[in-house]
Amino acid sequence: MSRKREFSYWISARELRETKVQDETEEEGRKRVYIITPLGTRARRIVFCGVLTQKNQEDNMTRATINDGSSNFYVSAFANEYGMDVKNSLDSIEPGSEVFVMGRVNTYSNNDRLYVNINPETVSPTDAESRKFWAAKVRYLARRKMLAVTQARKNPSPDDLISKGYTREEAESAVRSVKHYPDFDLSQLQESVPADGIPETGKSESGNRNFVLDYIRNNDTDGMGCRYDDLVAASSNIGLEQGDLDELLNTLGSEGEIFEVSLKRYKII
Amino acid sequence: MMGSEKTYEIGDLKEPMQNINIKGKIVNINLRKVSNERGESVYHYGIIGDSTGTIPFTAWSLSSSLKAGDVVAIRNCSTRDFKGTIRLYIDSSSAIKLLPGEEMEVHRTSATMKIGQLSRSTPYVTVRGRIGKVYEREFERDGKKTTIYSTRIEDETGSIRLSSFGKMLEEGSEVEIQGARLSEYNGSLRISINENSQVTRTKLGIKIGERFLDISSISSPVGGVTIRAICISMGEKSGLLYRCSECNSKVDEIRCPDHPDAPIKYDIFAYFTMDDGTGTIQASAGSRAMLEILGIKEEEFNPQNRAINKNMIRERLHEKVLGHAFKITGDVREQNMGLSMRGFSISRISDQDITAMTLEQEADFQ
Ligand SMILES: [Zn+2]
Repeated sequence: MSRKREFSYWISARELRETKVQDETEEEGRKRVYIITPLGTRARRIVFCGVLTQKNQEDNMTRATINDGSSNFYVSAFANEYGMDVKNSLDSIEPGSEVFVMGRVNTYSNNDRLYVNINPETVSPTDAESRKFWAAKVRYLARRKMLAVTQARKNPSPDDLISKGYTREEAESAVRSVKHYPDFDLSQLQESVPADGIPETGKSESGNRNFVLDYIRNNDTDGMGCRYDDLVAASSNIGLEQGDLDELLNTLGSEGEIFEVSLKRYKII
Repeated sequence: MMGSEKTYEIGDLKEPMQNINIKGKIVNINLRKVSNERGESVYHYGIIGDSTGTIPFTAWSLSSSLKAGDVVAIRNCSTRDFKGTIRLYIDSSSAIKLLPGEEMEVHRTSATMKIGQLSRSTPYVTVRGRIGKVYEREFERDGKKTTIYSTRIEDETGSIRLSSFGKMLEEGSEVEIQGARLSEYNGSLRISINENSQVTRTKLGIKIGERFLDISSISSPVGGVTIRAICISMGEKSGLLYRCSECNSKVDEIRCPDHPDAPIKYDIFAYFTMDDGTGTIQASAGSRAMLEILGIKEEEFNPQNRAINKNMIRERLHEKVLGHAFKITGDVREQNMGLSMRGFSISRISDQDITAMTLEQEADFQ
């Protein structure tokens, strides 16, 4: 109670995946990193529910993938002084379970792309209704924000948006979206969390994963590593889009399955 | 921005109006802090009036040196409906000029307000609603006996405690109360009827269902409302507690210092944070609201049952509450830490609740 709680935002994994902007500020002499999503949400902490599809548990760190029906959240829990309880909670949850997470966003860049993963502060098993409730609310909040952004592209004034019935938060987010994502195609977030949001069970996930690993293993033709461009072409044949491939490569890289020997060349470890 | 040169009288304001000018006296002014991702920001709210009437206002950019009694000229403000009540909005494009030495009579209207919109800034109000269960008791002062009727009154937006000094109230009746006095006790708002208030029976035909609020829209200690949200953290002091069966006070040991022979009884104190994507609020609840959620039967919940202990209750609170979505009905209270909610009924969000919420959301986009 003594510590002031930071605001937490409900955003879909898809909105997080499309996030390309981070905003570093200094507060009380400490560096703080915020993300700015395509809908203009400026967040440091997020809350989400989904299905745990993959988990890689080690002594010092547990990585998990959580799917909300729109895309994946990537969670890393560390075994340190502050994170031990959270890591233990995550370790006790089996893949396929419904899970609730509140955590801090953590960003890193690779090939000019921003990646966001989550350092959880609370992880807890949840139930299907809670997950569906979260998804329904996220869909509603995102739809309102999209309407506000459409409005703000005509007149980027918070006061004008507020007079049209948007909340201050929605109005300020919309104006931020116009500033940072002037050309963002909003339609790609339209159905970002499907109505009955049935998250992937991890089957296609692990299918893609195995495909990429096999492809890299079998297509290192010149011994210099598998070419990224070949991988993109092969992946598109199995319906794996470039954005998802990038994400998967990044996950595989941070899990130590592959490494980038030189620019856009990959090898199996 | 160009505005009109016309200055409106407050009694003539309608909603919505843009770029209007008014002149009025600040009847009262309050500051509220809101927290968002930047930390805290502040705004002012209160009542402004002139010889034709009064209107509540919200101001996002106002000098904090303004005080009740100041007469001001405001250019480029706007009016909007705020949940059934017309409200004046002063924003960064408005210009406020203090008029020192100017005198102004304010015609004090007791504005008709929805119960959910009542706040400390409106000391006298007119409300319309349905009377709940009425409790009567005699009260003697200066040798004169008066009957006090205690009840709650509710409309579509909320419910509030109501006491009437002498004027009879009937359960289930629909009334209009003019000039009810608004006060605050222990963080909760209440209204009272005295000799200056008028009570009229009316036919309102109000349909009262669950009153769902987004947490971000809760700005005053409104009663009888429902939130739908996820529990994002469980207070450390939550758990099982002991009460004296004689005096009901909380006891730390196994007996009450005042009633050492009286057996203790069990209660639950749960204190947790609820988040619905628009904001967070602290909520608390006792055993009556919590037992079913925790999967404990009322008849099992007593000190004779060895299965129930402090550890077991704490574990259940984490397992059954943290990270799950609930529908909580209760009263919002305002205390030094800000607004919090006392839940008197709590249930898990069901598929029907999600369907109902989705339908409300669709209606919002029409
Ligand atoms: Zn006692």
